[in-house]
Amino acid sequence: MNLDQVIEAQREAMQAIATGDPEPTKALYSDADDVTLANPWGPAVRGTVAVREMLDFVGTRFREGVLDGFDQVAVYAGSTIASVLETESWRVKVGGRDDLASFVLRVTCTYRHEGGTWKLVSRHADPINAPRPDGPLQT
Amino acid sequence: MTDRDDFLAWVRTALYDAELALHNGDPATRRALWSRQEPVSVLGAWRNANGQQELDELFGHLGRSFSDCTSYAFELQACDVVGDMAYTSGFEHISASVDGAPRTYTLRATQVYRRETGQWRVVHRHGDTVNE
Repeated sequence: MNLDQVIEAQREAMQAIATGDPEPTKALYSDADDVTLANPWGPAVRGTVAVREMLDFVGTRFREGVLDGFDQVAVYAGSTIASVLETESWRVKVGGRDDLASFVLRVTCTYRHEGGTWKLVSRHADPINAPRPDGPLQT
Repeated sequence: MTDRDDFLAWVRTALYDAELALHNGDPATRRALWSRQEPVSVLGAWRNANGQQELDELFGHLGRSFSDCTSYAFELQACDVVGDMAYTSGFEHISASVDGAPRTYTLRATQVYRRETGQWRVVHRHGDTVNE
């Protein structure tokens, strides 16, 4: 896949995980053990096993969801490393709740060109979407 | 020395010094290590910035907010360097005063870098609070 195609594949993978299926996201990740995932579900994790376990966990927490849109803010691309900054608008049932929760994630995805295609090596996502007067001191 | 070794040496020296200075109230050194080309972006623990002007405003704000840094440490989780692009993922462990009040906190930080005329420059930063 070229970079545009993998960006689209990543968006489709988020669509899948919003329905409880983490497999497309796992498939996007590199098999190398330097992969990382920092999401709203807990501390950042490193390594193939830990990332897959986290994705499996997320898959158990989401269901019947949709991604309403993606807003690409910036792309920083070299020939082998590329980072893409987007916001993702989610509507999804979380945990045991019956109502659809709406939230926007700001996301940095970093890819590495391996074996003729781009593979995800780092995803950093959080739900901060307005200025916070206390910054990291928010509880 | 490999490209990776060179890059990590820069992270542990110049970048470290710049972050320490910022958390002591001086944003100029950090600003000097960021690219002057568009785009540049920050997804910060306080607020976002897109573009050079917003970057200047954000760093100025941070410089006015921070003082009396007693500890700054970057714990690298992963990085890669290929050609003129690099990224780091890690944790920043910080003890500094924020608006005059001593604080200790840890940020998850992802940064993207581009080598420009032989010098590494930051182009993107994503920082948020560690989730327990």
